[in-house]
Amino acid sequence: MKFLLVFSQSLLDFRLAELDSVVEVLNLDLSRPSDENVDLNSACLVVDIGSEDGARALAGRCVLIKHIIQIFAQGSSYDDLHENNKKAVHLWKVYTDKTFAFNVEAAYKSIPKERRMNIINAFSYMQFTAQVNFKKPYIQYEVFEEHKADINSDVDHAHTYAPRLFHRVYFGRFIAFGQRSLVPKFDVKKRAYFGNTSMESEVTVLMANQALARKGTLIWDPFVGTGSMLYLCAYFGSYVMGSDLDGRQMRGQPGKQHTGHPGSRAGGILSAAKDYGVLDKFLDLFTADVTRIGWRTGGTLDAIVTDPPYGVRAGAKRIGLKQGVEYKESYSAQPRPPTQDYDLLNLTIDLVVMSAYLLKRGGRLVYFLPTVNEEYKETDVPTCQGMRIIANSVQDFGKWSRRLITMEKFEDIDTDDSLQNILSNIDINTADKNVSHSNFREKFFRAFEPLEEQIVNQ
Amino acid sequence: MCRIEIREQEFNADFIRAFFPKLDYGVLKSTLESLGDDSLKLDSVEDIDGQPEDFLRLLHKVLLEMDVTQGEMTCGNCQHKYQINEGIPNMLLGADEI
Repeated sequence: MKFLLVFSQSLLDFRLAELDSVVEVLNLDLSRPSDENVDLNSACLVVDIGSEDGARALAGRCVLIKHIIQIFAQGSSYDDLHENNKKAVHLWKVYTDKTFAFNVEAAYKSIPKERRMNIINAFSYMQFTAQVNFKKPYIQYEVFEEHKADINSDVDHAHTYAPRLFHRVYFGRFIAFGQRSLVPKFDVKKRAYFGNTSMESEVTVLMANQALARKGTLIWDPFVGTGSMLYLCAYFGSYVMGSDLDGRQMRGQPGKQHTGHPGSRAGGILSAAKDYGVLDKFLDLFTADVTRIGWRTGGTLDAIVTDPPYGVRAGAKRIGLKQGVEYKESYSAQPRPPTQDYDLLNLTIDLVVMSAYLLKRGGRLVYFLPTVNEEYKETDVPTCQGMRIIANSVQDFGKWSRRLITMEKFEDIDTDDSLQNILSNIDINTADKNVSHSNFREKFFRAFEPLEEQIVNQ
Repeated sequence: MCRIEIREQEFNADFIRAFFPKLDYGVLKSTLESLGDDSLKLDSVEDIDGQPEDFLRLLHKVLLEMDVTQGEMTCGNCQHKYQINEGIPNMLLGADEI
């Protein structure tokens, strides 16, 4: 059956990655055009799905899908559409004696009421015999106009206000809404507990989908912070665990009332999990240094989902002495051991290698990597033996971007040996140290100007 | 001083079965006994698939639901004591151990 997926116009580059992950997690029978035949600047994508239930299930997981329509007919003009629709009578004949409603919509455009009425009236040849029922129709017919960016215009084609031209029109019936409603449901501002670097909800849904979160799987976030990634993974049914170098953020201050101030630590992760009704999926939280994790059994996790600190608002740390500092006896008496900065370059490599050890075969690592647009090369993303990149979706902020990297552990590595031995024997692909995310903090704060130029400016 | 809370988790027999091979059952049993709980009776488990659901539910309770909210874990090798505070174990090493 042919279905029209109507997408939200946000996070364009994440669209196909999410679709593919959800197809995998739900084991759907879906075929879509190849990547190069998909125009991300259009809100529309026509796919084949084995069944209507499959389409509903798809809508039940995708945050970037607004709604799904079963296509009866399509055309490059309304005349063309009606000609095709008359040939498709076998698809819609069964509905003509059912109560119905009509919805006419277009991507990026609003259609004036008068024109909408004319469009609807043009379908009168279908000979509807039942009543119109706007509140609870048995069937909702959908007319959807696809408008594409004018390629002759010099405005950025992805921009909302770019001039658009009529491309195609689709006619069919409404199947289901996508999961846009998860965005306000998990909105950080409404949460009982959050911090100043909590990830926005739309992206956390995407991350949970990339991690193939589902019932009976085990997911860990090694930089859990205020727990944003885990709520959605748990919502989709996974058991979750979180750890961080600093236990105070995870704990919060359970006795205190939440004041709404972003700095507030009231509640902690478990209280927010309780608010979302997912507390029964939170297995544990623990304080740990990600470079010295205590687990001695590999091949146990289904996914590692994390947003490592970039060093801009919050910096990554590890236990150890800062450069040039000597060990003092008094350190051992401190409740908290001294920490040193942990550069993103080493952090990402460690994350990938650790994933190769801790993940089950077929398990996934999903994390954000900030990159400098001018310097970025595809080889910047580290890989290692047993791990491969399956999606790299970019969110562009002008001079820099953040990339959602999804990796899969595709072959077993030896997980019986001790972690230290395994890690020292593994092949790591880091072409050179000069990747765009190394020293990201310094680059960010000099606004990504090359070093020499800045000296001249001063 | 040790405090234990039970935090109910959704039971999933398949998850427990799949997780079991990664588990050192003997260590789990002795750890549980050190907490004063002798509900794990079997000395060893050869075949998890042949075990009744009651046993899987017991494992579920021990592994997923029992939450030591206050206490400490002692490393059998180096004797380092890892404190558990408000349900969150602190697995950090001291500065002199790195």
